[in-house]
Amino acid sequence: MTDALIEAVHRHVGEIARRHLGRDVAAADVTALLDFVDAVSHEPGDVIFRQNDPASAALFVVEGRLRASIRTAGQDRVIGDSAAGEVVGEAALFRRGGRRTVTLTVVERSTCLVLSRAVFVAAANNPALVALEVHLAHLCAERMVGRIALVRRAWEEAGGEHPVFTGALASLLGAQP
Amino acid sequence: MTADDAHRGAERLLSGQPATPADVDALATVLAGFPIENLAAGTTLPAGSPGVVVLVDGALRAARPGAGSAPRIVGAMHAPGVAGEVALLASGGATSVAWVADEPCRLFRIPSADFNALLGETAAGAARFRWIVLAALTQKLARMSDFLRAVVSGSRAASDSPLDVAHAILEGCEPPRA
Repeated sequence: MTDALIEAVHRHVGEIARRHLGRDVAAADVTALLDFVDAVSHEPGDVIFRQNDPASAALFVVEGRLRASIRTAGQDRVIGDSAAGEVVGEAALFRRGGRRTVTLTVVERSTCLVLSRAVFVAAANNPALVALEVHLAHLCAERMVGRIALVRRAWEEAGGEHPVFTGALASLLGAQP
Repeated sequence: MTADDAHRGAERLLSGQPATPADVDALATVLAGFPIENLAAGTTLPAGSPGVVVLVDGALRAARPGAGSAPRIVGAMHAPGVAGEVALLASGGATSVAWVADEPCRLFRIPSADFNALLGETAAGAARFRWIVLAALTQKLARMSDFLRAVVSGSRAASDSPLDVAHAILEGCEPPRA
């Protein structure tokens, strides 16, 4: 990793720790965490993984932008972008035999830290990893609440009509940024 | 609560994960700090109860308030399961569903402040507790994605209330079949 990327990791992890834990993380702890993780870089247009691929690791986005899409009824629908400081692909980290639920494509040149199950075990007590785990928990909760809001909005737009609801939900999913 | 209670609870909670005996021991030390509750079948935990429910034995039915009518059962959570953490993490709030014990249950209720404190600790037991929470969250997200995809693709007929299904998933319940 370049010095600029290492600095970016320190900055993101520090912001995350202050936001969720109300404290700083020592630079030495971030550096120690970097000894456990690999960094991968991708160019725009690269597909990092595809829906239904076997999954074994999450990605912490250090720089760039990634786009998640799902394929339903023969159509690819964009469901959201992830930028620096976000975690993606977390679904399989804590389950055996998990598979990717989305296809992840690079929009802007990106570098990510690979957070495998092995990292979560080996660095379990590292304060920088604790901050990332708590961040991931908050992200998951916010995504759940966001999906509930989508369902509620589609149901309201549909006036409780099931065929209309299906179309409204599809439209809202496709209209995600 | 006995050490055996905490250990058995930890074993149940980690049963779906590639956990070692040391992981179980570490999680048991955390659980031992909270009283275990035994619920008789039919006992209700009202909506709006703060904190996180960690179910280690039994099954709970989730009920959402109906508009001018009796609460609707929207699904059931079977042990091991975690509920209430989404609302707490997303907004600091409490779950919107009431829980009714479908059979004799054993559970831990972790107050909001303790939950938040545990999440940020570096001790081994806290790390394993985070795994439990993250496992529950990621499983719920995956189920929600599956549900949305199935509705949009037409492979799952919309139920009477898709919102009920979504809330059931959010609370860690098996969504009712359409």
